[in-house]
Amino acid sequence: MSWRVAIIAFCGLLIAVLTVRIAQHGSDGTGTWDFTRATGFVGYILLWLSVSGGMVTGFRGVPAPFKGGRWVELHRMISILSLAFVGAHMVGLLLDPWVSFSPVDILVPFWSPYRAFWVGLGTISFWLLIVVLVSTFLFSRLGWKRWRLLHMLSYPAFLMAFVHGVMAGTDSGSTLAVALYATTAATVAALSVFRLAGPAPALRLSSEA
Amino acid sequence: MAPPSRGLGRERHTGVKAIAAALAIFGFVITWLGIANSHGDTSEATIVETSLLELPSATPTATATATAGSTSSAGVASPTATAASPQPATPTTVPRSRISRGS
Repeated sequence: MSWRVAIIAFCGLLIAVLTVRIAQHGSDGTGTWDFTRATGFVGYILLWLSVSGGMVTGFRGVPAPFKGGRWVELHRMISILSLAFVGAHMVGLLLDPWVSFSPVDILVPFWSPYRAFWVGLGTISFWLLIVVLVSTFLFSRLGWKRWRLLHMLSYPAFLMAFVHGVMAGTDSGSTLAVALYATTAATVAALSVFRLAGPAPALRLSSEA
Repeated sequence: MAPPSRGLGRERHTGVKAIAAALAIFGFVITWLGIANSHGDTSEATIVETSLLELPSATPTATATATAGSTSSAGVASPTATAASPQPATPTTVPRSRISRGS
């Protein structure tokens, strides 16, 4: 269901941005650009929720609501939704009449004509997210150790998405964006410290994800 | 009665997933509307930068105004004439300025 819902959400986002693009009459309006910014924010927030939720799942002795099948399914669902919104973010960039991104600029890291390095970090984050999600669905073939190694890529994926948002985002200077980035970064940093300094994670619970 | 082996009935925790997806879509709509409605709240720095960008197009207007009301035939506005331009450049294109746009 997770993939189906995410695909439906992605298709809905595509229809929305195409409708806005058609209604924009050439290069007038900022509809597609607003769409791109909004999908970027939501994709980042979902990635943050997914990473944080996954870290909490691995803690030993966490309360029942934060572990087990329901929590893991929710973690997986949020991850896939994050990918859907990030994909829509990239499509929005392709459709926007004011920025001239080609598919290669978006899919190949550091190929962008605009802030190549910071946009490139976002591209790498996207590919890392793909690897993490695909590895989850190949869990039975990969085995726990390989899966876990690949799953650790979600940390650099989040870090790169964070830096990408701060350094390449239009809204980085706004109060809300600063609060968002500060909160998300602090949360993940605190959970990372707690996980590294705390007791060993409940490995079998992680293997369910 | 045995649970269905195929279709949505086979999925677990569908309610939680549906709520998560609905919240994500709702959050996106709110964010999109918020961004679309925030165009008027452009920062002062952006306005200044955009005004500077539009100065070349504003200067000829000021020159024409100054020239029409004076005997000068040089065709170049004096600093006084430029400063006295009744319609300085207004940042009407702020939201669409390339400067205000990032990735």
